Amino acid sequence: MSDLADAVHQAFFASLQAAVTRATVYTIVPDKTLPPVVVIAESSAEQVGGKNSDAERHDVAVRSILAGTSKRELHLLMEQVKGALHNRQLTLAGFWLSRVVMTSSDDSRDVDEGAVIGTQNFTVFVQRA
Amino acid sequence: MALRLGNNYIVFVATAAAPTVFSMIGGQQGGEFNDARGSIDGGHKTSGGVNLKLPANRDIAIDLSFVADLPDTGYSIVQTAYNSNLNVVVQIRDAGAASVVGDAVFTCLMGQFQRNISMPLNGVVSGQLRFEPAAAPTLELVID
Repeated sequence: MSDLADAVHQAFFASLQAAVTRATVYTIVPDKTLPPVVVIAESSAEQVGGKNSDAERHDVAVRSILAGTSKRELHLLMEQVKGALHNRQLTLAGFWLSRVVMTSSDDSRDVDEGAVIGTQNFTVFVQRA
Repeated sequence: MALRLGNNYIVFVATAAAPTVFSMIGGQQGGEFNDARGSIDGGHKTSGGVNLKLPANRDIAIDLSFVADLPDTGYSIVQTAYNSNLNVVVQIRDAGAASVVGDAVFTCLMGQFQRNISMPLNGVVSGQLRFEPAAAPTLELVID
């Protein structure tokens, strides 16, 4: 990964923190932190620029975790996450980011942990300004 | 001996009106130089049962693919020329984006005969261009 990955994470974090009220947003969840949390989870990058340009496509997973069994509460939280990122043109000094697109999402239940988990996958293109 | 990396081969263009002022077309990805020589049948009754081939004219084409990283001076040159049916001077240089005129390996006045633009969902805009000669090349190393 490169400093472009850091730029994407900074921009995602700022937008999520401003828009998500149903949970605390993290890039890495500290030990023993209780849900509800939203975490910028796995990400991958691919070079998409030309021979003379450094542009990357980043695919980022954002995970929402709630204690309990309420899928409805989870979906409301995921709607806030979607509103913070999907179709939004994020900004960060020194970088250009494309409009963010949510490409897929899913939800599941972790019976052992007593939690419901939602994952939303986003795609964004980034290059230095 | 050393291998040649395709990333270092970059296409530059200049207008026919200012043929020494070159600009790089930004966002270049693939590039293909195609050169096929035609043949003239020279076989005859006493050519030993062999169809003799004489060299005819060549078909040369440069195919270029790029991602739209705009605004870009080089792309503006080819877009204006294509829309106005004008030729451009196409130069291939082999020292990357920082190439200078001395790095040229191919130079030719060319017409632009194809322009395809792709605008995919959740993807970057990309395009393909095709150039074919309007005059004989003035420099023809291509790779060296």
